[in-house]
Amino acid sequence: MKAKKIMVVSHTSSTHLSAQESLDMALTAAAFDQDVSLCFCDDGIYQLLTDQSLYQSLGMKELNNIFYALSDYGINKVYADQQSIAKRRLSTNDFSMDVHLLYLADWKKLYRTLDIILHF
Amino acid sequence: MVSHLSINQCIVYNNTMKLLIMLTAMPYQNQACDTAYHFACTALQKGHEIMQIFFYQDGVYNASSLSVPPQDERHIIQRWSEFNQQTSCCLSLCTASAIRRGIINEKEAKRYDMIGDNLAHGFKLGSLSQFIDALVDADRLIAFKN
Repeated sequence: MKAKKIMVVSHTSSTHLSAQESLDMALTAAAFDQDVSLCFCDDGIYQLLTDQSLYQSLGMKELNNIFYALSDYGINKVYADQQSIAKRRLSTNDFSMDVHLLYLADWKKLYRTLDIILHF
Repeated sequence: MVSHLSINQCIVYNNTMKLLIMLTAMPYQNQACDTAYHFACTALQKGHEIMQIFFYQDGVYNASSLSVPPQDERHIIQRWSEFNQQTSCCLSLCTASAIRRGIINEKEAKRYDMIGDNLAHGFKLGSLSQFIDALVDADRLIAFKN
């Protein structure tokens, strides 16, 4: 059966359990040989920050280690919403991994290529 | 009560679909659980197949048998149990999400040495793997969230 193109869109920061659970969903789908991509927007942008000391101090799991393993699961397409980055006065230099920037016009094109979009 | 749901009266169309429903919203907080329930009932009435209803994240609270709403309000948890009884539709929870939030079945209660279990009747603890397995085969995924 042909792999489905699934995009997991994460809207919350790492302090929200939803961040971890969205990653769990993406990794499980990838383990089932689906074509999975990740997208970060709104506060989800904060998950990408290199500095994860806040999560350590809260006793939460650091997500960076999972991000580093994404390619091992076959997840090579990671997107970030440019508008969300700009609103938070961040730049891609602050991020722990390379991302493809998504501009407003790109969303429509990208959505057309997907089978399933999961928002968390 | 699932008073308006009668499987015998289903109108079966040729273009029926295999649907997968995911619910990530807590009961009572907003309309999401009600919408999911009414969608599921209507989909079955129209002859569609519901592969499973998957409760993920805060959606697992829909399976807490310890929830007691006021008597003059709808009982969302009981309503799901009755839905399962009448339709045999699989109500599956993500085990990791459920246990983390204190929704636990008899087996897990024994395993973690808990004093009791609280998984409502008709629900079962499943997994993300089972959900993805169904997702691969489904015609549509319909997600209900906060």
